[in-house]
Amino acid sequence: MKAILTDITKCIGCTQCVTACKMINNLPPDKPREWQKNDGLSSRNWTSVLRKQDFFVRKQCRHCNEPACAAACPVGALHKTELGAVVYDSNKCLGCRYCMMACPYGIPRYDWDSAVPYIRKCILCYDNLISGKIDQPACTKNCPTGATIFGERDFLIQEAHRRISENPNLYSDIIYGETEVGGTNVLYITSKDCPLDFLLYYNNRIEKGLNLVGEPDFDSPYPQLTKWAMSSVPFAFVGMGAIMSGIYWVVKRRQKIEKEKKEKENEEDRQN
Amino acid sequence: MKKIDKTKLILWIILGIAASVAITRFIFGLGATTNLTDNTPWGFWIGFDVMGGVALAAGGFVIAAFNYIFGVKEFHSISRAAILTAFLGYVAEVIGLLFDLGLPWNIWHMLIFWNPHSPLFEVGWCVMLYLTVLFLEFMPVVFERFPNLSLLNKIHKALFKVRIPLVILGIMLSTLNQSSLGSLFLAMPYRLHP
Repeated sequence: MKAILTDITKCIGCTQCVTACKMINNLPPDKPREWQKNDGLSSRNWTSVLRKQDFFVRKQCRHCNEPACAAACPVGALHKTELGAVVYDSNKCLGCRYCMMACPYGIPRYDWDSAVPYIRKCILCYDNLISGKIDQPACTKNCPTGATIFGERDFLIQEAHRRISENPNLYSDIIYGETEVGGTNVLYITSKDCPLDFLLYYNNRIEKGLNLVGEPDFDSPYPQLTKWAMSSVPFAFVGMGAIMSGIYWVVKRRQKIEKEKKEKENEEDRQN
Repeated sequence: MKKIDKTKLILWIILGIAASVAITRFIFGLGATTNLTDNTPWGFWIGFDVMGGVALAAGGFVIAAFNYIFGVKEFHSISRAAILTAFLGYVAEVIGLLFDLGLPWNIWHMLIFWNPHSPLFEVGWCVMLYLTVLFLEFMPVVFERFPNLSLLNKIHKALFKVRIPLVILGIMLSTLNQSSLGSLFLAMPYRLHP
């Protein structure tokens, strides 16, 4: 599976990746609107560069190994490809926005100003990569410092470990995306001074002083949250039918016995 | 002006405002008509309309269960009203959602593109099937008005024969529907307060 590794310590914040992304995907210019988050992403900006003190953090879709958005979509408009990208089929979408609610990183964005709105997010330049038009996504290709690179996921994880072990004073020990939410295909390594926990939506909430329901399990894939409930649906369905049929049968039988008893009593009364 | 006319007038005004908002939504999009953002893509009405409206419809299957399955005949007189209320509750939910969905003309996609892992897929199917069951449960009331039409009489008799399986199917579907509305939020523990 292909992946992207972004090294926060190497990013100079030039936003070449943002420009390249807009060019290759033909995204129109965007002005700030009241429905956008303050992270620079929108239905027309699929990647953005955030400033965190002295560092720049590039934000984009994380292309999870087990994507919550794909598990949530009722028509399967989002799905994980073999390449590694999580792609979107606008012909299937019905606009319920459950993917936006389910994404642990809050990535999918919506065309709020359109009468025919679609979900928009980074698709890892999937169409162009598959057709062979380009050999790597526009963002990694146009990065002047090599802060964001494209390659096999296993190789990039090795590379990340190598960089961290070579420079243990500079880098934080964590490879963001290695095991987080079951592993993602967009990985980050970062400086000790710039933790990236804020990328996860629920960490934002913890920062704001809001608690989570239950213990958060940071490494388990998000689809697991609903899997147990969804896999018990057939049993609930059949079980409810069986219970109701059983009760109906018992009640009917009781009524029948009561009726026979009454008739018998009536007959006995008449005989007497 | 009589009191009933005043009530009607107020309802007509509300209807007029709602209709103009609905037209605006289909010309300028959801951003112009709602306060939804990328941060909160679901509105308050998901909780109010979908959860509340469907919960209102719970009376339909509870009363039907009491009447037909548990044999509690005291509730027989209100069973038809309860089924009608449930039917109208579901119709209101579906119509309300058509304006909330971004691409409502694609709603039938749930029939052909399946993703059984999704709680919303379960909700959609339960709503579609239970709406059909409620329709069939209520139809005899309409058929009784036309005793002279032989075709309707035949359907009426056929429906009367399967009324117990229909009621049981209705209970099964609404059990799933009511529970799957809760499952929806299992996917986003971090969005629930506290």
